[in-house]
Order: sequence, then C-alpha cells, then structure tokens
Amino acid sequence: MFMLDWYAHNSRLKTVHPAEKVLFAFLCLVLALYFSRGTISLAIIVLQGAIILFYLRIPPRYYVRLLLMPLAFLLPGCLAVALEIPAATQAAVMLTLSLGPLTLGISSGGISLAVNLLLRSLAALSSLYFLALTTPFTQLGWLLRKAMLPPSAVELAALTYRFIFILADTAQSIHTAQVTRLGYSCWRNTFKSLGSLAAGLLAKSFYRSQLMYMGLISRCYDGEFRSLEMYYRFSPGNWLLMGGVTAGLLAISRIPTFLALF
Amino acid sequence: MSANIIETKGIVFTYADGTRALTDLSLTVPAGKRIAVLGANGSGKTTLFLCLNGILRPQQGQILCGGEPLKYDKKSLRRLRSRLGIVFQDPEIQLFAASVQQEVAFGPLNLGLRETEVRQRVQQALAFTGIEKLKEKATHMLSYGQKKQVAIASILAMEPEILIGDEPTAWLDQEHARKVMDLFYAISDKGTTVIISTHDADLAYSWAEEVVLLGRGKLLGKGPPEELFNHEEMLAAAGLRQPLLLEIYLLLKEKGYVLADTGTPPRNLGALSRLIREGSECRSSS
Repeated sequence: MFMLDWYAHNSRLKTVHPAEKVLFAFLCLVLALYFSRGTISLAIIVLQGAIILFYLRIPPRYYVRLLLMPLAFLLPGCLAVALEIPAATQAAVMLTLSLGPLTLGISSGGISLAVNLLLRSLAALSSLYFLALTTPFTQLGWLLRKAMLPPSAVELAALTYRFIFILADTAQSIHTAQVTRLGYSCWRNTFKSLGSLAAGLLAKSFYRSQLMYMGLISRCYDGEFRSLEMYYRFSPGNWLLMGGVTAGLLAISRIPTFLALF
Repeated sequence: MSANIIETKGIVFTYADGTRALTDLSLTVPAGKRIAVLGANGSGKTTLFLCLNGILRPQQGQILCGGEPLKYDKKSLRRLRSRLGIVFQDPEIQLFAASVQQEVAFGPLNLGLRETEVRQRVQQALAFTGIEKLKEKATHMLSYGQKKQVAIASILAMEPEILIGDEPTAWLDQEHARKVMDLFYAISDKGTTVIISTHDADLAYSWAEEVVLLGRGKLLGKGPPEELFNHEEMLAAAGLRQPLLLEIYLLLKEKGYVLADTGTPPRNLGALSRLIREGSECRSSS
C-alpha cells in the first residue's frame, strides 16, 4: 500500500504539471466508460500498462499485484452479470445450471457483457493507477486547492494523509512490541493482542495529536494551515501527446463492431 | 534590549493529576548565550520550556520576556512564539506537512511574511541545516536524524531570538548527535540565544556556556560548567554524575599527571591532552 506512495514520490513524471497527469488519467477513464467497448478498454489497458511498466519502470510483479487486488471484487461481480435466469423460450443459452427450483444460464450475450465490464473496470483501474503512481498527494492537494475546493476540506485530506503514516507506524511498533512477547502465538493471544492494539492505538493517537497541537501552536498556528505556493509549467508536448491518444482512441472506436472482437 | 532576554520569577506549575513539575523556579537567561538545562528524567525541563513558550501557564509566579511580564492574550502569545522557538524532542510530532519545504514554510507563513521572503527563509534554513537536497521529499520518508534536522530548520526559518532544543540528541546516533550539536553551536554563533535541555552531563559540560541544574522541579544550581560541575553533592542531588572528562582530569591531577595549577579544567579532549603533554614535559624537565 505504501509502496504506491513511494513510487509516486520517485516517479519520472513527478515534475510534470499535476493537472496534466490528472487530465490524462481522467481522459482515459472517461473514454473507457463512455464508449463501453472492449476494444477501447483493451487499448487503454495496453497503453497504461506500457506507460506504467516501460516508462515509469514499475516492477511488473508489483503492477500485477495492484491489478489483482480489485479483481477479488471484480470477478464475482462479473460472474453475477454473466449468469442469468433464462426465459423458457430463449435460444441463446449456452449452458444451464440447475440449483433446485432455480435454473441459471449463461448466454453469449451475458458473457460478452461480463467481459466488457471486466475490461472497462480494468481500463478505469489502470488509468487511476497511472495517477496514483505519478502524482504524490502534495500535488493533488495543490490541484484541489486550485480547483477552488474548500481549503478546510483539502487541509483535512492532507492531515489525514500524513496521519495514515503516523498511525501505521504506531500500529507497527505496538505490533512489534506484542510479537516480541508472544502476543500472537496462538488464536487466543492473537485476539487479545489485536484488541489491545486497537485500544492502544486510539490512546496513543490521542496523546500524539495533543503533542502535535503543541508543536503547531508553538509555531504561531492560528487555526489556518497556510502553505507555500507551488509552481508547475504546462508542457505543450504533453498536451500534444494527450491529443494524440484521444484521437487514436476515437479512431479505434470507429472500427466497425463486426471487425472488432468485442 | 535588557541583558536578560527571558526570566522566570518563582514559577510554580502543577499538572492536572497533581504532579508538581516546577516549584518556585526563578531563572534568568542572559541574551546571546549557550545555556544547558541539566536534569534527570522528570526534573521539569520540558515543563519549563512549555511554560517559557506560553503553552503551559504557571499557576504562580511570573515570566518576563525582554523585561516585560508575559501576557496570555492571543497577540502577546503570538509575539512571544515568534521570538522564542522550540524544537521538540520527538520530531515526529512536530512534522505535519507532507513535504519538507511545506513544513519549513509553515512557521514563516504564520508570521504573515510575503511569499518571496518565506521562500528565501526556507532556502536559508535548509542550507544552514545542510538538508537542501531534502527540500522536495515527503516528510514520512525521512530517517529519524533527517526528521530532526527538518524540525530544527522549521524553527530556524522563523528566525527566533531564542531557540530552545528539548533533548536535542535523544535517540540520535553519534554522527547525527554531533551534527545537531554543531548546528546549535553555529546558531548561537549567529547571536541567537540557544537553550537546550539534557540529562547528559558530558554534553552540557562540553557545549554550554552556562548550565542550569534542575532537580524535581527545583533550581539546584546555575553557573559556568567549570564551576557548577565541581559540586559533586549538588549533582548527586539531581541524580547525575560529574562529566567523565572532568573526572579523568581530576584523577590525573590527583596522580600528578597534569599540573595542579592549570586554572580552569579542560572542556574537551584536545585541551585535556594538551594539559597531559605539558604535565609530562614539566616532569621530564625537572
């Protein structure tokens, strides 16, 4: 999980204007969702995969793991889409499955719908992963502020981001302290230890937030988090590239359906 | 400017749970000096600092800043905190921003400075602490020692007249500890009054110009390190021992390896070895 953050901070595209990265990710996302066609989705999966693996040089194993994570939700969902209760007169059913009074069937239409859904989701996911792997939160926060979101909402998000790491650190150290004293040696101990970890985490976080507040007010904090303006430059090359990608995807969408696989 | 930049008069502080942290503490801090507040764990060092910064308010007594009694309204506190900066013991609690640059800019921005000025100060503070290359890094990716340096830079950028370091070398490896103490030395060289707290007699002895000895919230003694550390019974009352260097020096003096009338005891290894050399030369010539 935290590796994602690390890659974003060390990405080759880190200095690129955040708006360009967000735009590119959303461009692909919107095109995949709008056209809802397998070819477009496939093209986006391949394009984003190529950028992520070959340009950003994210280790393939890690990227595959990132894609596999949501598959746990996605596959059952697609399966449910593929299955249908066939009408008695329906001819296109390829396979039927009887579960007591219930008869489930799979039709070619259902399959193509499920595959389409799967590809569309993967295309959307890989677009979001592109964003997550290239844009650290500092840049997103900056962009959100520029987008005139309420400053307090953006600050809240920024603090949450910082606190995730503090919380994870604290949980890790409590866990280590418990492991060294055989806190997880059997089921009974595991449950007990997990309980006290959660309780300890709350108490420690509270204590820590108080200390942090002290640190803030000692630096003249008055209820508003001010931050230094950051400057990014738009690059014409990137816009050209995005235009090219859009044109390419639109061209793919013109391929007649009977020529395309899906 | 008065000679004492900050002063406490008989302050008493008791925590809500009844723990008395400071008892009738009167203290003067001369401007421009390097001061070490020395005391065992629980002697009230951190409480004292939090009182000096106006974060805790003593139940009795008075704090004077630049000769004026400290008031606790928003404006006065703001003024106080812009003049007096604290580097907390645990940098983890001090750093909240996502990037080093934003962290260091936080204080100066709160002072209401213009953007160009803030940028300049951030640059200077990072250069001074030797961490310019960390500028764009995320704070949670730094090592502990680096976090400490960022915490110091974030206070330095506010250009306080007084810089307080609460146990600045705690949990640092030797190299980072030395770096931090050198840094505090350099800050003091710029004319800033630097106060550190420590339980390390060796550190206080070699670094400070003046040592304040605290024990259970009381002031036990105060003075230049050469003098203060001669009072063994006073140190024992504070739960501390003489600095190793001083002990060795006294032992060598007793055994006749260094001359008896060398004036002030040595504050560092170089000075001690010079005394030993002089002593041996003196013996071989006689």
